[in-house]
Amino acid sequence: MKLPGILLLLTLLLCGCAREVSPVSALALDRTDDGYRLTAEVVRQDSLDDAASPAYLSATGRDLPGLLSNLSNILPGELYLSHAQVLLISETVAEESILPLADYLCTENDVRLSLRVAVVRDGTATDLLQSDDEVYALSELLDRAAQEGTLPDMPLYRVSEVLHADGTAILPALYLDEFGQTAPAGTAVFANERLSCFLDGSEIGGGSDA
Amino acid sequence: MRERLFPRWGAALFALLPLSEILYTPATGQTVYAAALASLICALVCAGGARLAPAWQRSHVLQWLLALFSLWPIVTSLARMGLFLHNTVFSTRPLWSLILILTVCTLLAATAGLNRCAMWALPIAWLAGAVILLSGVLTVSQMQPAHWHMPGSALPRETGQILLRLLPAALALSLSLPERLSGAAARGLSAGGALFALIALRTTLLLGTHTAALLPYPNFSAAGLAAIGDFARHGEVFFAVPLLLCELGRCAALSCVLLLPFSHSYGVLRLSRRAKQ
Repeated sequence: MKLPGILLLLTLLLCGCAREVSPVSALALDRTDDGYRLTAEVVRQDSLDDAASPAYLSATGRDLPGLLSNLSNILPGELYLSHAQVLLISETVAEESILPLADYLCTENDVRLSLRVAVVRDGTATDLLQSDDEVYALSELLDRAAQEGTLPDMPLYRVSEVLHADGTAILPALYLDEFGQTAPAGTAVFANERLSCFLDGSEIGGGSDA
Repeated sequence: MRERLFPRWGAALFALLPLSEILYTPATGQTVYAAALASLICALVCAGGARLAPAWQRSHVLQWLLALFSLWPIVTSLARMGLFLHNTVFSTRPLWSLILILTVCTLLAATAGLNRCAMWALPIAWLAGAVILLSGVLTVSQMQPAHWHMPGSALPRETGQILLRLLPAALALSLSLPERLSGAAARGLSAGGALFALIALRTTLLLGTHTAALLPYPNFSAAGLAAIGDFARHGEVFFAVPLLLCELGRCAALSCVLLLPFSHSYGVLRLSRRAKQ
């Protein structure tokens, strides 16, 4: 009788493993007057036809740990970043050093190293994130563009490595075209860990010719 | 009938030792060489240890000393396994409960005896080897040869660090072997060491040394980049489970060494002298 008793005890220790989670498929980071705004695209699967649809929630804060903490406070379930495939950052965020951001995301347990980071031109990252009503549409676009070679293939682990090596990196750039659709906008070039220019030659903040 | 420990089982048991180190070893440019070198040194030392085993076991004092010595690798293994599970999967579980579960699992496996632990090591070692190779193959296209490093001045220090974790367990097991299995010990450690070095190479070429330095478990994190389309995106889970089984097997075998002065048996544990096989 000892063995079943021990096994029962050990099974009881695992109680509470089943918890409700709010899976995030993409994130957008914007600069505000007094800090940052983080918007999460949360996957909802509560429709009658069981189709996944996005819901958007935003939180403000002074740094990324604070933003994630504030975001998890307003989510119905536990913040689950393991399914996040894209992080959009606005030009104003990219003009600061993005190395602490990349390092923090690498060390964050839930975040996948294959997360793709992209810079949003001529607008906020939140607006671009909310322009699609399809979950994972952004990551599919970036995956396809990386395979075709039209945008740089720079997942998070590669961004962190090149920034640590010499502070220089290239990231894909996206923008909202005149029809309100997400479209590739060239390559964002980083020098000294900061956005330096776009590869098509236009200045930071200049209009997109893509 | 007396149970035998066949050389193939013995080799598998010793292969578990370097495989158990994979999850916890950092990935610097020198780890590839350090892993290979440390495994080779261990293989040579343990080949000698296995030859001395029959003579060693004739002395009760030495047997007791070996049992006490085996406590150190058991405790460190259980502690690092518990920490790994706490840091990666069960962050809300108390650390002590995870270590308790692992200890109970280890003791339950150890009651089967050293021979059967070695027998079960064979499929586990094959499984771990297959998963490591598959994980490596799935990430080949993402590797960057520019991250390759030549041996440098940090190599002796890193080799020493791996030896410090690997050698106590390997030595305790080799001195406790019931048969003269020096060849099997050397083969197992070499094969496990080769896989250990290969996976360290994969991690370095994939992540680069800077990114790997940020991660507490770089080999585990790098395995997360191995995916078969959208089907299996959490490759690190498939990677870690066989390696944790390897470490549980190592703990169970070392627990058999710890209990040897009481059980006097390499077979199923019965704590009396009459059960000697």
